[in-house]
Amino acid sequence: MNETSNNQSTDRRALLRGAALGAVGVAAMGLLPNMVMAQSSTGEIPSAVPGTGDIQVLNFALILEDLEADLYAQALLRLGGGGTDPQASSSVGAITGLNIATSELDYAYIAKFAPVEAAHRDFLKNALGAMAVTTIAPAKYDFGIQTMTRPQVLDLVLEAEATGVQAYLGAIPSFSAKSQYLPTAAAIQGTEARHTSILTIVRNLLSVQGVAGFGTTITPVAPLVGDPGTTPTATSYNSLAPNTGTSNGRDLTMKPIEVYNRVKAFIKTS
Amino acid sequence: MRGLIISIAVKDDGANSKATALGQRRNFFMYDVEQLKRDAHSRRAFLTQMSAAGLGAAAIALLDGCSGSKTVNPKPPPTGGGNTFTDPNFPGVTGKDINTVVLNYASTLERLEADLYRQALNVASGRAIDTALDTTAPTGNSLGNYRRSVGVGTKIAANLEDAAFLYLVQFAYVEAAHRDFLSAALGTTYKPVTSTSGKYKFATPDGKPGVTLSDILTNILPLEETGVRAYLGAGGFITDNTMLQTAVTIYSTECRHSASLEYILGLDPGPRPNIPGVPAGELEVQPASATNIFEKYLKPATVLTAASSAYFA
Repeated sequence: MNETSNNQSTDRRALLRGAALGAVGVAAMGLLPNMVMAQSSTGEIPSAVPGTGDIQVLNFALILEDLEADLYAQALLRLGGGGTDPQASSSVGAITGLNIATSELDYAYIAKFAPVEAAHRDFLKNALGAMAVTTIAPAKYDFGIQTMTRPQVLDLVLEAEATGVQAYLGAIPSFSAKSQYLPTAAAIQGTEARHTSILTIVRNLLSVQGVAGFGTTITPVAPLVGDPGTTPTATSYNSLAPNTGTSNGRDLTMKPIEVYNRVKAFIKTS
Repeated sequence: MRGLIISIAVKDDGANSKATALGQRRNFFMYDVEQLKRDAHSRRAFLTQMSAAGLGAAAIALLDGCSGSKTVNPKPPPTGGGNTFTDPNFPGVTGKDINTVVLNYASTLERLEADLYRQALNVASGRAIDTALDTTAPTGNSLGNYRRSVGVGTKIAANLEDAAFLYLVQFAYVEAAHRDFLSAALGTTYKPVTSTSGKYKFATPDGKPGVTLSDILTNILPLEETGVRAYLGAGGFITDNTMLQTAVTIYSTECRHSASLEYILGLDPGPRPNIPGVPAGELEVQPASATNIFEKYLKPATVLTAASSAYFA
């Protein structure tokens, strides 16, 4: 990712990458009154997410899709003509638009993918019905997008998609074995993978075109052979582990607690 | 290596020498490489001569490269001799249990995909179609030892030409890595379904006049999109979620590859229905207002029938 001269934006992107947090703002989403600090790494769904078993995993997915859908909505306002997002935190205020032409690649593809993310959110919300987390209190978001430059907006959307790819993968072990929800979760995950690659190509093209602020780094569209995996673990077929010494050209996973720690600062109560 | 004749000029050893125009003595030996493969006596003579010339290693490499499957498909032939478990949802696939049946199904497709990518890359870079994948996997944005030798064709925009060839190189190595990863993980249980020859036929062979990179990638794309649908249609049979997670990490990259190739070819990055070359009968996990909300899937039996018919050689 390129350097940014906007310190606030740097802080937020660092948060998304899991850098050390300052005073923790508890991600209240208007939920349980005694919010616990984020669990230390059990790999399971953070206890802040309501429900148990598969329902809790789906609520976790809904939290992420709701966040992502609103990120897309705010991104379009910022890149386009501006306006007020009903799910933006009051700290965001009315978003001033950068008035990027809608034919520009970043605007065009963010606009193309926005309804898909909204559809994912709506599907999960409808599927969960009364057990859906956002029926308790809708979340509000501040991504800092209102002061971001055009490249920073794309970078944040790209980072969210990339995190989504890994988040779904990391949540699979939290489902029950042969859960009826797994095929649908995987069917959503695949689209996030596509989005990530397309937005990477878009970013690369804008860099090559020399559009201001996009820098010159060309990013691979998919994991390469020899890309590092994470901590080596056993690889017998009885316990095929997703990440060994190298990725073997496979996408990496991210544990739910780590995903949650990265995004929760964006989630506000009002 | 049909019709390859090796002419070796070895410095004078007194016998069988011919004077050259410059008055130097040279020994000329003509070898038909096909004959060398068949004839052990000729092969020994050839190797002896080449070794005397300090070219022993090259001689061995040359003969190995002509011997068929060893370097063309560098993985050992399928093992899995003790695989006695089968499942009617995966006709023709064996394993030790349902999970390894699913992984051998995945292995069937990854082995196929890796080889067709290898062939595609050979065609695109002007190599003989049986050439093994170069052993040096390029890193970053490097093309390694590959260079595009065919025209770009009409589907790839000018500003995407370099990326198009780069992705072909990168994805070829990644598919081989997937194949090798599954092979290593399965160990002696590894037994992908293959034809008797273990070979595959690529739709755009070398020698076809005017083949372009557009043609090559158009023929590669359905492999990736079929792979997406195959994994999604098989994962539900896996009983261990850690193993499933591993399979989905592979599927995730097939989705990336599919979308990337579609972008290069000026196509919608999906998910979308009815892609040419993808087997008919794709199914949806959920009803949706638009086609790009969820990935689609195919039943394993559908994929196995279609893939063997289309690609087994």
